[in-house]
Amino acid sequence: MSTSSTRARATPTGSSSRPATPPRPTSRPAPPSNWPTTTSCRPSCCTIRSSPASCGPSTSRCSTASRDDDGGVSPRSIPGQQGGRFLATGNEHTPEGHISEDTDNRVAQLERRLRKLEAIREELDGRETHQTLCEPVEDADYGILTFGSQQGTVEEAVDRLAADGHAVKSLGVSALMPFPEAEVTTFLESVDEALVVEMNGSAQFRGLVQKELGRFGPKLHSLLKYNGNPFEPGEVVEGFETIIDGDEPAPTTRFVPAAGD
Amino acid sequence: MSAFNAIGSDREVERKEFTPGIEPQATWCPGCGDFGVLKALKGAMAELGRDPEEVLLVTGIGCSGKLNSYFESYGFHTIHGRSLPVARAAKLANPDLEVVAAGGDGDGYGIGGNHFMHTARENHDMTYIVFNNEIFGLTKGQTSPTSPKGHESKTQPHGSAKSPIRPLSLALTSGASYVARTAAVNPNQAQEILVEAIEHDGFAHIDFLTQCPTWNKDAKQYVPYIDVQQNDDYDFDRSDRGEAAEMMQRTERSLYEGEVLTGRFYHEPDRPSYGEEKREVGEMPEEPLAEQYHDDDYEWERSYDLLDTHK
Ligand SMILES: Cc1ncc(C[n+]2csc(CCOP(=O)(O)OP(=O)(O)O)c2C)c(N)n1
Ligand code: SF4
Ligand SMILES: [Mg+2]
Repeated sequence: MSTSSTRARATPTGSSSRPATPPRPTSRPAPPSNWPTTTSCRPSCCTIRSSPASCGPSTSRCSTASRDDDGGVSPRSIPGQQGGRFLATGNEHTPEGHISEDTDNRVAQLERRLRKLEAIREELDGRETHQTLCEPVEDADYGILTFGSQQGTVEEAVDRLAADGHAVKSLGVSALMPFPEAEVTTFLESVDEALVVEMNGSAQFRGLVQKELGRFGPKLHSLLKYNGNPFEPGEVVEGFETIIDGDEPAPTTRFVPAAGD
Repeated sequence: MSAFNAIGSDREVERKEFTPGIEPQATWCPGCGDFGVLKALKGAMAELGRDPEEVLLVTGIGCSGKLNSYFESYGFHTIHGRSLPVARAAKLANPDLEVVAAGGDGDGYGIGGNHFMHTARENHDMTYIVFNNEIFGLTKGQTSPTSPKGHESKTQPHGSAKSPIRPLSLALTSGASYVARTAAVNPNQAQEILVEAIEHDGFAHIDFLTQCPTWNKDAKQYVPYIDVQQNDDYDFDRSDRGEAAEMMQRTERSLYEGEVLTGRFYHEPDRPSYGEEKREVGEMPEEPLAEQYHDDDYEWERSYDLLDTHK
């Protein structure tokens, strides 16, 4: 398999050089301001069991209600630090950290945890992307969406198709959860039709895209391969040509035309 | 200055400091042996003057796994059978922490059996308490790796075809450097053994007989118990691997014959721990790894950059 076209941002000329690795962070990112410091009073939070009387403004910290800044994450201290005790546990617990099967508490805690997904996505969207766009030509009408180990193969196929005059680009999705909704939406909105290339028999990735975005079903075709061997670039080329001219795809693959959501 | 300022604080610690400020209602059944472990552990930690904030109590899943919900210290309630890998990592990252791992017989000798063997073999410096009630308690009384052959339960309706494992022998052959058995019915001995185990530098395994009156035996079935160190019939040298092995086999066999033998079975004080070995060869820093977390000037490596990605 060639990886020559792997790149984070393709240039319009389709240059196949690798991008420089992103600069390393030179120091640890600053912890959120609500993290305990070594000098602070005992921090309190959803899983820190301290008596509220001894820990200052505990009620705001212990609250399971929405806070603007916390993203559902409870502040924590590290074992050995004075002024904070922390129990990490899978048992449902009250804000004080005690096991509880109370249904109202359960709902509040679960909803707090769900807020983490949004917060993580928001934070990731503010950073360099994890998705890989391969765009050898501008204004492509066709897209190929893929994930995982066939990404390099798909990019090689996109290069071949572009060289043959097809207006096609690809997006390799590396973050599956929380799903990069905005990026995938932008990609799919920018094309007329897309081919989802994946190595399984039940179009799991296409299903995930539809579940996460709730639309685009009518423009998502599938190219599946499940004979135990990885994709060849030629198979992706042929699968793509099936959209254009209706020819049979490679016999080692299965083409499933777009249906709906 | 260390960020872990609770460590080595050297002060008088009272037993009650190990009881959470807002005391929870324990969900253990009345008469459960697990209360005995909690009591002995609180006593041992106070006796040793450990600050609750320099202690990390890592538990598995089961009735026993709830121990750190009722014990005031840092805690990590892990997943089934995995208390040891988490405890090992914590101890390696911060060797000055007092790390105690605890869980059930199903948790530690069954699903986590591989971790038990290899943590003993590598001699990680920690105390490992196995609450041995000879069944799965939390899930309602199924046959466990220590249930006797012929044990009838929902999972073995015609009686278990399996011979029980030998927990003490397994610890010894795997490489544990301290091996003891105590019982919830003997809280004084339990506390003494816990103190020794915590002070031991290396992997200290305690098979802790905890009665489960709800699904298995009640407290009466663990008495009378015999302390092998206090009874002249059981004269053996616990620093001798061969003598220890023989005594352990006898102890394991006799439990199923109604004779409850407890005490210290093996002690090898001088074997270096895994952390010591790793620091010796320079694979772990002398300064605890965990300190880097609080070092604003530390140059962080991305683990991605340490990988040799395919070219
Ligand atoms: C991976 C996994 N498998 C199974 C279970 C179900 N389970 C919960 S506790 C338990 C056994 C508990 O027995 P033991 O470890 O002896 O603890 P005890 O309750 O007796 O203290 C099992 C099988 C689980 N929680 N996770
Ligand atoms: S079921 Fe058994 S082990 Fe669990 S709390 Fe009750 S008595 Fe203890
Ligand atoms: Mg058990």
